[in-house]
Amino acid sequence: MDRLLWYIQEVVNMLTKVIPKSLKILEEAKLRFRNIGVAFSGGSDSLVVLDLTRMVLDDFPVIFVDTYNQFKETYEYVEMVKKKWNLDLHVFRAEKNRVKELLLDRNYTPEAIFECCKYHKIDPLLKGVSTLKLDALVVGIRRAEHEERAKETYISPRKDHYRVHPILDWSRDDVLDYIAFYNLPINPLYNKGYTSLGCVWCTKPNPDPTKHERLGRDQRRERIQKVLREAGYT
Amino acid sequence: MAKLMVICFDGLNRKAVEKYNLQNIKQKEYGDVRTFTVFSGSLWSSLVTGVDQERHKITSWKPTENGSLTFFRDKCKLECVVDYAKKPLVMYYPYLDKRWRIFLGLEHKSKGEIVEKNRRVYLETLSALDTVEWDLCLVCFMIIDNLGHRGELDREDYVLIDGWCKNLIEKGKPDIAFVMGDKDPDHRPPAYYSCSRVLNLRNPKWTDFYGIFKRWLTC
Repeated sequence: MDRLLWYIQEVVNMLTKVIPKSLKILEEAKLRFRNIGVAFSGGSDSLVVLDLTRMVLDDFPVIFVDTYNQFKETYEYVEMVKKKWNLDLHVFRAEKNRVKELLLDRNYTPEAIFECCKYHKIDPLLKGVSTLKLDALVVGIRRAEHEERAKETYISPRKDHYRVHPILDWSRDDVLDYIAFYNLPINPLYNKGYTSLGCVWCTKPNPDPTKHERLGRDQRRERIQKVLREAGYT
Repeated sequence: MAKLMVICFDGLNRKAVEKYNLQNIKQKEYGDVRTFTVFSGSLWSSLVTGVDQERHKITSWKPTENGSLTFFRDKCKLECVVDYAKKPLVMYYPYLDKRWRIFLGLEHKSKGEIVEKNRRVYLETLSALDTVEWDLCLVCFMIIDNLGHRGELDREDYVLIDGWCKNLIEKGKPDIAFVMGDKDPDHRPPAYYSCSRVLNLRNPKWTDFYGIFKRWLTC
């Protein structure tokens, strides 16, 4: 009974406090910007943001950056979500796969990680924003994920567009509660021990899911988040 | 005395209205309404008070300690749209009529019982429109939301409520009629409105309707 009451409180809290704040942020973006797109990586946070945006906007483009190096499950999952929700999905990718030359042969030095991420992920993302002529890009970052993301604001300017962060204040549990409540399909990798998803070369199952959710991400890469974000990373 | 009719359907939004082409629910003007919360108790309370949840503080169906469901009027001291009516006819409206409690937990009942209890609200309202004088008729139905929760909502149910709307408006002959929906049964915005007159509302907020209703009742 206690567990049931706790669950009801969680759901009510989500419906009356957590989601309303995110909807307000998206509504404000809707009023301010003409062309709004959503970045979808195939992870749980961007799934929630995508679903929230569907509540506010009828038609909007979705950007998926194919780094050539995502998990097979992620590609299949993104395709499944695209079909299920009839998404206007636009895939952007670099000219070719240079992961060996940029990252693996250079033994994951900070410079190598930065160049690999910039080439495979950041540049195609920015290309997507400019190709689709977006005024604003909705992304699913959260303050709790990383100290660099903690510095963000709900709507923040970039060089030629704005970033909208509707779930900035959400916790990992809020994301999981939302997915459970709305019965959203999740990437099967979450059932294999992963708690944060990226490319195969920099992502492993979380060795201790009770600890930080990004513990499965390459920690050398986590340490250069600041420069990655300055270059345009989410 | 201008007559204002507001027919509310918990769980109705534009996508369903369009999908089933509900001709009577769609009136001269209709469209989406912006909402920021996705919880029925909070939304309906905002409709009748004109303020967001942050002010009326109603976030659940839970009654107050003394069992009263009118606590926003007692505690928040907020005015309600019904206060501006000289002769209100309020049928099963949350926090205004203790009979609302009849519907709490309806979603766990059988489909037949849910339909029957809502039909009773419809028939009582239809009968009252003839027998009492009124300037505000405010009626709320839980059928769509509750059947949606049970997964037993189909075209037939929407056609049924479309007919109820037609008959209520035809019998009541209001000067202006609104049909309001708060969200879909899965707690997804947007909300919905339709109006028997052209108001040229653009991208309205849910709380805007309080002022519109008030103007009609006080003009």
